[in-house]
Amino acid sequence: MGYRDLYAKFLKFGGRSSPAIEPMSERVEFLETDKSLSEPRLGKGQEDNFKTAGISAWRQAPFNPTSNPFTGRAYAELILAFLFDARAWLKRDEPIYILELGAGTGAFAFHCLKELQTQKSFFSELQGLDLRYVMTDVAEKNVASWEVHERLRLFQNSGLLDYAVYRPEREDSVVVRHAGITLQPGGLRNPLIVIANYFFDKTRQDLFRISDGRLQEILVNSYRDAQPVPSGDPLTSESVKMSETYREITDARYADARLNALLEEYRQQKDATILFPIGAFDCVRNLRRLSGDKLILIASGKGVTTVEHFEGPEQPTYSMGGGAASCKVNFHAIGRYFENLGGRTLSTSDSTLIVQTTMNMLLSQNPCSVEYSRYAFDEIIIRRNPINYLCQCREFLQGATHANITSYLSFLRMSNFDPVALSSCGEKILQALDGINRNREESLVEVLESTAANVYEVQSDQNAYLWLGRIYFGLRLYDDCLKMFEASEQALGPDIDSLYFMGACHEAKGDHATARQYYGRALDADPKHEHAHAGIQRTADHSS
Amino acid sequence: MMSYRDLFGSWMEPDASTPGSRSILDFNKPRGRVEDQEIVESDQRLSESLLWRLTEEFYQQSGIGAWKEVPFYATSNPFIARTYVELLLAFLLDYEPWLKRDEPVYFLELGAGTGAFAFYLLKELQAKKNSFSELQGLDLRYVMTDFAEKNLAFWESHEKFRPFMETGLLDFAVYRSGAEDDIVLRRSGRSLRPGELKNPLLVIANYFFIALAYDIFRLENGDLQQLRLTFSRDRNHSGDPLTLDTLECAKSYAAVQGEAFPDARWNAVLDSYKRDFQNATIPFPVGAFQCVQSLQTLSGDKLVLLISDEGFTAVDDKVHQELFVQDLPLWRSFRVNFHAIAQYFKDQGGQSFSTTDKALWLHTSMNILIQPDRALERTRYVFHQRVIEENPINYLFYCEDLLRDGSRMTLSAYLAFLRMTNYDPVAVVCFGDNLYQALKGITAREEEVLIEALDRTIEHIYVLPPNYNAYLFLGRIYHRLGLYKDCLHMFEESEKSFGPDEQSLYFIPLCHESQGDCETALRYYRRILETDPDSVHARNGILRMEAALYDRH
Repeated sequence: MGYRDLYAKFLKFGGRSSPAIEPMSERVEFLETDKSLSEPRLGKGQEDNFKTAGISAWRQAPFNPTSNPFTGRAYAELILAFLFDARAWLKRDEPIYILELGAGTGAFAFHCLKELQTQKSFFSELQGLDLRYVMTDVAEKNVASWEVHERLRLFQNSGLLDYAVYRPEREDSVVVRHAGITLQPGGLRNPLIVIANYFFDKTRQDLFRISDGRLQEILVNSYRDAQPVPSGDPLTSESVKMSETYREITDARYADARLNALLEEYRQQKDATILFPIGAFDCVRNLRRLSGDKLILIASGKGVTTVEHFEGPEQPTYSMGGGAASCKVNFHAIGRYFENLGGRTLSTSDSTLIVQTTMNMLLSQNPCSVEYSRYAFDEIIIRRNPINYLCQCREFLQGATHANITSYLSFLRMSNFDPVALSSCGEKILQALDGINRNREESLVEVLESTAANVYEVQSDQNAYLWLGRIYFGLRLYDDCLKMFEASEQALGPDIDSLYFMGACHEAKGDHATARQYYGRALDADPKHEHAHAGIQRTADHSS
Repeated sequence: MMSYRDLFGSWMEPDASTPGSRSILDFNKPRGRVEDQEIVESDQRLSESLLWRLTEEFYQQSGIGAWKEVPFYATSNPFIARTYVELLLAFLLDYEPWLKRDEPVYFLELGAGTGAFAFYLLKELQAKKNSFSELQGLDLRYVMTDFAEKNLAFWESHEKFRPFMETGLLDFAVYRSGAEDDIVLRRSGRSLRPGELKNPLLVIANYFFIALAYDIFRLENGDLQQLRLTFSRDRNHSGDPLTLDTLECAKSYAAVQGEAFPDARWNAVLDSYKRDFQNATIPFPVGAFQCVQSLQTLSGDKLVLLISDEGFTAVDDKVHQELFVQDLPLWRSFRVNFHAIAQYFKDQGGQSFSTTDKALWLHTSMNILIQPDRALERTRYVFHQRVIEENPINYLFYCEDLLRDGSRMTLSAYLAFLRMTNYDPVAVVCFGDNLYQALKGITAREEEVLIEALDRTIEHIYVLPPNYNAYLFLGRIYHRLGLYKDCLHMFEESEKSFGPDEQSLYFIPLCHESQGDCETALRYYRRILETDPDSVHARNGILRMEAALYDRH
C-alpha cells in the first residue's frame, strides 16, 4: 500500500458525481425540486454524518493527502513565516491561537505541532510567544478520541494543545475544552491562524453558470424511479437520481453584498460554471468576527484557484452520496473575498495539482508587509510543493526495481519520515539490506527511529510498525523489532506476522521459552505456518 | 537512456583520460626494477609533492574543455543553486543590521568551471533578491573565478551571462586559491584587497577543495606521523615532461617532531585529533586551509564559506578506522575533511553548519566567521530545513533510481518531479522517453501546465553535459503537442550545440511540412537520402512534398 492507494481511495470517495442527469423513466417520484445545491437535501447533511460517525468516518474518508509529516512541516514553515512578519506588533502577553477546523483523526495536528515546536526554537524573536493550537471538529466523538491519544498527550500537558467542538459555519465563538475558556468576538488580541484542510469541500456550495454574460443558478432536482421501488422505502444513494434546472439571477442573490459583488465579478468572465462556496463564506464571516478581522486562513484540498479553471464546457463536480458529499472547493472565490476586504491571498496556480493550497490573510488593522509569508509560500508551496510531489512518489517507487538503499533513505528524509512512505518502500528496503555498509546502516537506523516517532494513526493496510519491525529484524536489532511488533499489537491486535517475528526475536535473543509461546500463538492463528513450525522445532531442540 | 546516476557515476569512476584516473598511489602494484628507475622527487610530504602541480597543469591546459572530462553536474544544477540562494539570503537577512549599504556585497565563486552553477545561481538571486525589503537596494556583485584564464574567456563570451554582465551583477577574475590575497575584477577593473571589503565576503566552493593539496597524518598509539612520498619513473622517460601515468610512488611515515605546521591555527586543528584518537589516519586539508586563510585576510575576518563536495563532516573512531583501512585512494578521491574546516572556523569563534547523515555522498557545509559573532538564526534555520532535513541536493540524484522503469507514471507525476528539480534540463533527459509516453490522452489543462514547465526548463539550459541532449527530448515533446515552431527551434538548438543527428534530421522536415513550408521540408528530406538512401521516411516525405508543390503550381 502507498500514496497512490490512499489517493485512489480519496478520489473514489464521496458518492456519485454530478451532473447526474439521467433519462427519466415515465414514472418517477420527485423527492425535491429546484433546490439550491447548498440547501440540505434528503434530510442528511454531511455534518450529521461526521457527527455520528466520529473518527470512523475518517477510516473511509480521505485524510492522508494533508495529514502527513511533510505537509506538517510545510505548514509550520508558513505559520512561522507569518509570525515573523507580524513579530513587531504581536501582543506577547496574549496567546496566539491556531485553530484547526475539522481536525479529523488528529494526524495533521500531531505532525504540525512537532514541527512548530522544533522550528520555533530557531528564532529568539519567537521565543516566549504563547502559541495555543486548538483542534476542532463538529463531532464530539473525535474530540474524545484526541483526548486519549497518547501521541497528543505531551502537547496537551504542556498547554500547547487544546480541543473544542466547533461548527464554524454557525458559530463565532469557541469553547476551549481544557483551558475552560471561550474564545469570542472581541476577545482575541492577536491574529487568529486557521487551518482548514479538506474542510471546505464538505461545507455548503451553490452552483452557477455564466452564459453570454447572464448569470443563472443551477438548481437540483432529486427523484427516484417509482418502480420497482415502492414509494416510502428508505432512500439510498443508488436509488436517488438528480436533474438540473436553471434560474436567472437578476437581483441580489444573497443578503451579503460582498457575495453578490463576487458573483458579479464572475458574471463578467467568459462562459463558465462556478461553484460558490457559501458554507466557506459563512465560516470566514464567523472567523472574521471571532478574530476581529485579524485572520490567517491556510487551506488545502481539492479545488480551483484561478478563474480560468471554471471556463469551458467541463462542469465542476459535486456529490450526493450516502456518506459525506465532496465538491472541489472554489479557493479562488475565497481568495477574492479576502482581497475585496483589503486582505491578501497566496495560492497554487497549477491546475493539475491534486491538492491545491491557499493562504489568505486579513490584517486590516495591522498592515504589515507579509514578505516572509509570501517568500515561504512561493518557495515551499508553489515552487517545491512537497504535498503534491510526495503524494505522487508512489509512482516512482512502483517501478524502482534497481534502487539502492540510499535512494530510499533520501526519499524518507524528503518525506519528513512519513510512516506511509515507509510502508510504500518497506519491502524494497528489506531487499536492499544485504551488504549494507555501516554508514548506511547508521543512517537507516536514524531514519527508522524518526519514522517510528511519526506513527500516529495505524491502519491495517498502512501498518508502518510491521515494516519497521521487519527492517529492525533484518538489522538484528531485536529489542527495537520487538517494540515495533508490540506497538502493532497494541494498535491493531495480534496478527500472524507480529507473532512470528516476536517469536523469532526472542529466539535470537536466546529466550527460547518465550519464543515457543509466540510461535505457538502464530500456529494457533495459522496451523500451516511453516516458519512457525520450524521455530517450534528449533526451540524444542534447544530446550531438549 | 542517460540518467542522473550516469552523471554521478562518471564522477565516482573517472575514465582513463582524467588526471588521477590511474592511482599512482597504488602501493600494491608491481614496480619496475630499482636500477631502471630514476628518482623524481624524494621523501616529500604529500601536500608539497608534484601531484598537485601536475593536476593544476591539467586544468590550465584544458581550460573549459576539462569539464568535458571532469564531471561537473553534481554541483552545477538548478536545485543546488536554489538552495544556495536561500542560504545566502538567509545570511544577508541575519546580518542586515550591520551591512554597509553603500558598499558592494561580493559573492566569490571559486573554481567556477563551466559557469553552469553561476548561471543558475544568478537567475535565482535575481528572482529572489527583492523578496525582502530589508535587502532591496543592496549592491550585489557575483564574481566567478578560476585559475585558468581560458575559462574566463569562455564565460565572457557566453550569451547567457550577458544580461548579468550588463546590470553589473556579474564580474570575473583569475584567482589562484591561497597564492594571492588580491583579486582583480576583469570587468569593473577594481581590485579586491585585504582590508578594503566593508561587507562580509560570501564564498562558494563547490567541488573545489577536493582538488586541493592534502597532507596525511597517522596516529599510532598516540604518536603523530606524517606521510612522505617518493616518486620515480623509468629511466627511459628521462627528460620527458612529467606525466602522472609514467610515475611510480613509494610511501613512508616520518615521526612529527614538534609542531607540524608554522601556523598555530593549523596545529590547533591537528591537536584536536591527537586529543581524540590514539590510532587514526587523518587527511589534513592543507590546500583548503591556505585558501581559507587567504580569504580570511581578504575579507577582514568577515567570511562566509559555502561548500558542497564529497567528504565527511563528522569523525569518530569508525571513520578514522575506515580511512586507515582504505589507505590512500586516488588523489582525486581524497574526500574533503569538512570536519577539519569546521574546526578551523570554530577555533576562531566562527560557526559551522553541516550535513550530518553519514550515508550522504555529497556533503554541504556553511562556515561563517564574523567578528563579533552574530546569532545567525535564520541561516541556521534555513540550513536545517533545506539542507539537513530536505537535502534536495542529494535526494534528487537518488531519485533517478526511483524513476527508473517508471513506465506507469502519470504526466502529473513527471511534472511534480520536474518542479521539485527546479526545472532541470537533465531531468528531462532522465525521463524524457517515459514523459513522451505519458502524453497519451493529455488534457488541455495538463498541456498548458506542461508547456509552462517546458518553457522554464529551456530557460535553464546553460551547458548540457555530453550525452544529455535535452533539446532532442524537448523537440519530440513539442512535436507531439503539435507545436512545430517550438519543436523546430529545439532541433535547431540541438544541431547548434551537438551537431546534426538522426532525430533532428527526422523531425526538422516534419516540422517544416506541418507548417506548410514544402520547399524547406523537401530540402531536408533530400538531405536524409544523401546519408541514408533507403530511408522510407525520406522517400515518403519527398513524394508528399513534390505532390504538394505540384498542386500549388
